[in-house]
Amino acid sequence: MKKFNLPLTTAISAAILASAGCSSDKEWQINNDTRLCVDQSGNRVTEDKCNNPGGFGFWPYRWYYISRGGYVPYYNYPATGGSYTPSAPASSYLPAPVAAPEGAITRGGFGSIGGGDGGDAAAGE
Amino acid sequence: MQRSKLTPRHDWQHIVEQHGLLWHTIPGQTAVQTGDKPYWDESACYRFTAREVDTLEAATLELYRLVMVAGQHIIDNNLFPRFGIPDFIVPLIKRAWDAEPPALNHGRFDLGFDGAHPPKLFEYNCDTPTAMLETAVVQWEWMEAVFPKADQFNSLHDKLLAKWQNIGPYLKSRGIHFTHMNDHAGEDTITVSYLRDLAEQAGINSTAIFAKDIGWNATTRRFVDLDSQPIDVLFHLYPWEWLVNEEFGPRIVDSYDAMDWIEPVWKMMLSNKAILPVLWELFPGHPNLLPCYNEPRGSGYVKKPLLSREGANITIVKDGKTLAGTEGDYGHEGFVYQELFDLPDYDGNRPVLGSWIVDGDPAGMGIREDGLITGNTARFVPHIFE
Repeated sequence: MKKFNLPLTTAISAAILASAGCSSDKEWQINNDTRLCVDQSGNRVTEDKCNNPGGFGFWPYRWYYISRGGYVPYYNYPATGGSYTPSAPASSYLPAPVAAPEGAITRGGFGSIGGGDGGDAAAGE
Repeated sequence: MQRSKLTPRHDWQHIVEQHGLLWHTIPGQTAVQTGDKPYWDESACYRFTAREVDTLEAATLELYRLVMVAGQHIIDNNLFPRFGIPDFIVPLIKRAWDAEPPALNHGRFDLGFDGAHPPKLFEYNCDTPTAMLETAVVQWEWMEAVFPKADQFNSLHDKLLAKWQNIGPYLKSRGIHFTHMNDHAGEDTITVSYLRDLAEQAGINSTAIFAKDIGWNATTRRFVDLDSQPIDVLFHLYPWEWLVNEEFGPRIVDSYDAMDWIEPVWKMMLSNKAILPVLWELFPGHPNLLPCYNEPRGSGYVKKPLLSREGANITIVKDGKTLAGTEGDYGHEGFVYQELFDLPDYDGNRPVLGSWIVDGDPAGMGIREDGLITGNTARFVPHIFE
């Protein structure tokens, strides 16, 4: 009898079965109070959608305020740890950087073709 | 080569789950597909003679020789445009081909075989091959439980472990990051977990990270993990053609000297179906190859995208008429046209043999069966030889 010693495979299988998988949506930590534009689902979108609301009636984008020390998600990922109501004057919140500042770490530059999180697609062949 | 019907083990789902095979059942997805269907299918098995296994092993060895010759030919004749490979990555492919950085150098030749004639190559999956756990572990455990006196063409587990042990001292670090997608079915996650288990048994520390979570430090010009620590060695169950075409693709060049990539970037040549016409140009009439061209010829062929996965965007033409086809998102990069091979038909079940190789050494076989096109609803059927 061949013995297979596969503790990680067994443990991670059990975790998946228990739906205990998790992932990180953080991109980089900010040093200033920062505002983001988010859509109805709370996912980050480009700022022009909040700067230039179109027409009359319901507009699905609004500002989301994150205090210093929070995390800015990359585009199309959920904003967390902040509020739709600023805790300081709204004008004191800086726009979120489009890209990470020099020296900071950016994430999300891989993984887009594969379809993101929890998709039906797989990269194996 | 025979197909035998069997009675599945009681509670087989729980048994294979214990070995990590969570994706053992294909959920019914359409009105036509009523109910769930097994992916791991032990209601049948394939039986081979030792002589047939010898034939498959020899063909695998020979095909490896052919693809290595083809790789050198691609480089010598600068055939990269035929493969849709971006110019910026070509110098790295050439460097890696010559330098032979540490790698498992594993892959799976998908073959057509009827037991009577030489096996024929359909494609070589050597960048992100899967069906690994079910081949190496699950079907071996099945054989020991169901046919304890039989044998199996299967040394994949032992050869992968030996290869990790072999390359460990040559890596830039004894700590490897393993990246993959956060896939719903868990297939990629568990396949990577299996490879992590093997690496750890070889004395290598492993850390998992989803592809989307890999970071880029613009100051140090290094890829980093979730703790912002530099990644020295990256195993990726994530295709090279996706890596190089995503936002961080050019950063691979910037940081290349600081890292080991497993598998190496030269796999972009061999895993691309554009290699199939190159093989036929180099070895016309070879008994293990099917005629393959960059344009349709004859009245019976299979049209394949250069980079498709799981049978997507395949069209089968027979007697000048489209016999079957699949949809998908591939094909923008072009197609190849491979002569149609009539898969053996066992009451509508048509097997494709996946013959594994680890650094030039044949390492076993897994069989998937489906209809005319082996797609993402194919079933994995175990085998024995006697």
